[in-house]
Amino acid sequence: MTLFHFFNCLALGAAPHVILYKFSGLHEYSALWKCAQVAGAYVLTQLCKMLLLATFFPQWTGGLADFLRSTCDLFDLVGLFLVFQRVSGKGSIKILTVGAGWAAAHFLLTKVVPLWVGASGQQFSWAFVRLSFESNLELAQHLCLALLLWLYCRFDLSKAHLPAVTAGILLINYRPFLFLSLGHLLPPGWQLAAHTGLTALVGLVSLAVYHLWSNEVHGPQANGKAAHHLH
Amino acid sequence: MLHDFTNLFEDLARSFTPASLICLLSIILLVAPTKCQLANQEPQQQQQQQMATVSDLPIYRLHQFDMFGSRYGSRSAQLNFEARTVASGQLNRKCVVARVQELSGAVIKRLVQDNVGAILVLVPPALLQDPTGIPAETRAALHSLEQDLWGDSIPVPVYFLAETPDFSRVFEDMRRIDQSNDFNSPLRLIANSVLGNTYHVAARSAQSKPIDSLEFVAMHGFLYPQASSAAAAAAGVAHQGGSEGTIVISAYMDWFGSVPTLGRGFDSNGSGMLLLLRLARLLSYYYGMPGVRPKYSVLFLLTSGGKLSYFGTKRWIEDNLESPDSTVLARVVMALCLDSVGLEPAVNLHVSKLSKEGTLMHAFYDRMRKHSEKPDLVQLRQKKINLANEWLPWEHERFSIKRLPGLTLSQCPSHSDCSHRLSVLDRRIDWQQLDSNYRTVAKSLLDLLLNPSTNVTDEQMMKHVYNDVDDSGDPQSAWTSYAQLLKHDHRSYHNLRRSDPYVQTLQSMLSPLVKDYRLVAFKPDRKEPEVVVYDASDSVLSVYIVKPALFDLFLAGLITAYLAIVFGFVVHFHRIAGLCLAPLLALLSSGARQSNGGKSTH
Repeated sequence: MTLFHFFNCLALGAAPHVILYKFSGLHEYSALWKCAQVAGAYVLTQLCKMLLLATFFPQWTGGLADFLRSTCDLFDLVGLFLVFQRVSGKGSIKILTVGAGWAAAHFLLTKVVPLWVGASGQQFSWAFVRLSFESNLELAQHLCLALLLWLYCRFDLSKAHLPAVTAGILLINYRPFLFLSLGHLLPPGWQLAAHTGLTALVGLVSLAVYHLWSNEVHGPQANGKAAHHLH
Repeated sequence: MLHDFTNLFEDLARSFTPASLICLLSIILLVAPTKCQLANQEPQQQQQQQMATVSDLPIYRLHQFDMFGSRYGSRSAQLNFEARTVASGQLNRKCVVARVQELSGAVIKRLVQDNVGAILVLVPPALLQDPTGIPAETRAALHSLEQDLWGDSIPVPVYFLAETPDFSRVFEDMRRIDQSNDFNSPLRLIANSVLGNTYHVAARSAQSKPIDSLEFVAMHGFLYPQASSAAAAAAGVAHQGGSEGTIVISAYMDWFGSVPTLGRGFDSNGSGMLLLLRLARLLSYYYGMPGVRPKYSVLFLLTSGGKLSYFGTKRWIEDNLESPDSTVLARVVMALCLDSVGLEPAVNLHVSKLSKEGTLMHAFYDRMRKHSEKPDLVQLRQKKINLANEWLPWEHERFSIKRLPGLTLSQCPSHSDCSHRLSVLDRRIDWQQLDSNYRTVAKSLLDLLLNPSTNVTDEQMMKHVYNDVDDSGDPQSAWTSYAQLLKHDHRSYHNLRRSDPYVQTLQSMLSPLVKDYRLVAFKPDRKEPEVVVYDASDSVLSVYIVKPALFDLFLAGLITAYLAIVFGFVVHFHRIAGLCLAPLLALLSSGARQSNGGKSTH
């Protein structure tokens, strides 16, 4: 029943996106069309990034080449920035919309085809369950990325928090390169745990910075409302 | 959410702004993963390429044919089962993978009774190159297995696989899994039945069907003695004028045995065929020599269908006897059939009726004794034709049945003693021995054919026997170009037709040497075929690791639990976030207060 396995992995990968949309407040704002627009912007960004890669980056191999290619992923931030300008909405809703739409497009375009080709084949492999679980982690990472970028672009962000925000953005962006080059140092089963830990860390840091920023800007009593909106 | 979706599509349909159009186009274009993402996910992609543990292994099916109304061989060809070893307990609808030593006729009968799904026999890979590299016990086991399987009808697919090192690893793993399934602890059994890995073997083969275009070819050509005078030749007298009769030299060109596509039949009957071609070359040289007047015409006959009770020869004889204007068989005085002369001295002349002194057959027997290297071993073996048995042991019986005197020359003392004839182990020829047999037969024939007054001395005869080689006298080099014929792919009826390259090559070798060359193809009778051969004789195997079906349910349960946790997390996010952030913020604020306090003191 390998089609069943495919549906298992698909559910594992896609359901958190659906749960996020339905139960985190986006549903109440009917933000589906906005999420779809964000997804379209993701597609455009990837197109331009591919053009950039093909034009300016030679076909080297090795650590330096991987680092350069990961640097090209910073172009994603340009796309996110433009999307932030086009999507209207209050702070936390904007972040959620952009994050959810971006992550959903990323999941659809990079995970569904490998799952279909691989998980519905005859041979069983744990790689597909792992792929779906990592798409969950990437959902959290995209949300954090949206949050951190939004904070980065605020003029009222205090200087003390800037390093944390920058560090968070760079960590999320270079995470694949990090695991590619240093992953062999870890014992074999622990890459996934390290990935989860890293995501949790970045999530905590970004939430902390957001909390501190909202304390500074809106004052402590507005915490409840901001947190409630963030939901 | 459905409402949102309908809104979404309405918006899309209504507002065809450039932005939405670009979005749509991009989505259509970019269904595949983007390049950047690919670079980051290369390890996962590599795993996806490898879709099977071992794949693309060639496997060869046991023979399957119907003859004279009886069914023989493996009656099924589809292979898509879980793999087990012989020692395993539950074999119902599974494929048993076993080495040759673990199997025998009795074991296979027991497996079939246990309702096994298929049988995969592992043979040593050395079989494909040089069977002498296989240890003697394995060879004996393989041989006895072949003999047990021949003549029986087995309902399940039986495939043979050359055991590569990759597959050996898989096989050891299968053994380990089967042994671990014999655990007494019930908890382990349950855990195994849900989580355990099993191997699944699958072959790309459909149901086996009878080969529609089954054909048996027979090619023949003559060598006539030259006309005694130019006048007779100008008068267009029938060529046989001047000769006292026709000697037929016959051999069959095919091989069909236990595993049709795996075996090659080098000795039986590659050696006979090569011997016939060399004799054709030699005799055509002689018959073309001026001043030489042989006593008899020679007819060379190459047929297929030899392993199916000499079907090609039978049809050829009937074809030529029935047609009234055919004079081919009119003056046959002897039929010399060549069968298995490549490994040992060809000293056995099998006949159906002992010939009296003075007959041609006896004269040939005398010549063989004279020219053989082991004259004491040369024997006439008489065996009466058993008309009740449809399977004829030797080819000369086909001629003898139609009252044409025939004998078969072979190294085997009796047909039951010639055990390698149907075996896949027949992949070797002793070139020295074949050459020695050729010299014996050539000298005997030349002695028989030529008048004593032809002024050809013994030394000249020896030279002519080697007229087509260099002076090195190395028997191997003399046979090299002929040996290429044996390197052809399997010579079984699945592809042996008039148009087959192998048949065409034989034709190109024989037809320039002879006159009145003709190739005929025979098909079995349409309505009631005497012979039916089935296809799907080889395929390609892949082995996968699969998990049991319960595992999918188990995983679904786990995933549902995980999603419930995620749901709880999302719904109660602010509370959880507050809980997690509190210690972190306390830490940060204490740190800030400390640094502030430090600053204020300065």
